[in-house]
Amino acid sequence: MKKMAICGKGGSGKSTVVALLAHGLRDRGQRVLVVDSDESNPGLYRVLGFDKRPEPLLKLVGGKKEVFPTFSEGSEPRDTLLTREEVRVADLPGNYIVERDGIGLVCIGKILQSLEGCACPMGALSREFLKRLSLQKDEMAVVDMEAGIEHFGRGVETSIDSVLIVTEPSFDSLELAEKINSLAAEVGVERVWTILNKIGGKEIDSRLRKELEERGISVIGSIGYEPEIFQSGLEGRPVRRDRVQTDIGRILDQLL
Amino acid sequence: MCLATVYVEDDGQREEVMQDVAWIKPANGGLQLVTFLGESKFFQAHIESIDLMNSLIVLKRMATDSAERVPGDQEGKLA
Repeated sequence: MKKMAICGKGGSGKSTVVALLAHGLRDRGQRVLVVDSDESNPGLYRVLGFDKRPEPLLKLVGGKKEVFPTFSEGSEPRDTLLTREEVRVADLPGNYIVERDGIGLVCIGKILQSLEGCACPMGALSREFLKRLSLQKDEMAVVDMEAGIEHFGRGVETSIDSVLIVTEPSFDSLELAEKINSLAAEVGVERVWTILNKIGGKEIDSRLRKELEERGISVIGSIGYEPEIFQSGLEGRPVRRDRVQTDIGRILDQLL
Repeated sequence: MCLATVYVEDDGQREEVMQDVAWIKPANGGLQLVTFLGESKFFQAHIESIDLMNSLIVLKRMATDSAERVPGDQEGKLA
């Protein structure tokens, strides 16, 4: 397993789980590339403990407005890195990746202005970047997907080998998990699991597992509701992982 | 998906020739197509139909293939 996508309902805790998994994988000797594929939420870099967000890869390929004028002037197509068949983490220019202690972060692009048009180019760029991303031994990619399921329509998961669905205790979250499970299978992802998140006790844990089993979805693990994580999210600080280390460890035992 | 998948129709056969097409421009009697990553191809063809609901563009190959290549072209299958 090299490339895993973290999916789920908005607010289910995808970015938090991405950060927890990235740190856990790093602690087990992996070099982790986190791919911020969410064109809306701005703060994944903070959750991961970075001081700034990297430049978006959309800018590397010229943004929405620059490619065609360049072409019209009659010049040869530029080497935008993403026109290559393979892109290694080491190929990424320094301002397009932030790195520390075995964890790197790249960002596909963000919606910046009203009326700037749709986010389709960002979905296509996510798909093409992940397709071309060539991971070396001991490297893994963890992709923070946008909320919901539109990314399946854009084919972002075509080169993903595992999908983890973050499910919180709500009926909508369960319904969406079922939909994602089905969409991931349609696109050919072989390994799909759910991670239960914000779980307040054994009773709710058991109930959710039963509900998900009835919907044909495998549960790989459960992360407890921790006020410290809530507090760090409220204050825009890096995720506190002290109290959920055991939960993450159990998930990674099965993943690796 | 508003980036288009482009097909070329020839003798009733439809063949997919490009994905993620973001720009199309008339050039040298044909069409220059460019993807959002900047990859370009020239086709000796005209537009048969544009289906924005499904992000599909169908080109119809023209009889002549005498158009000159434009700088920046790849050797498109139909160039």
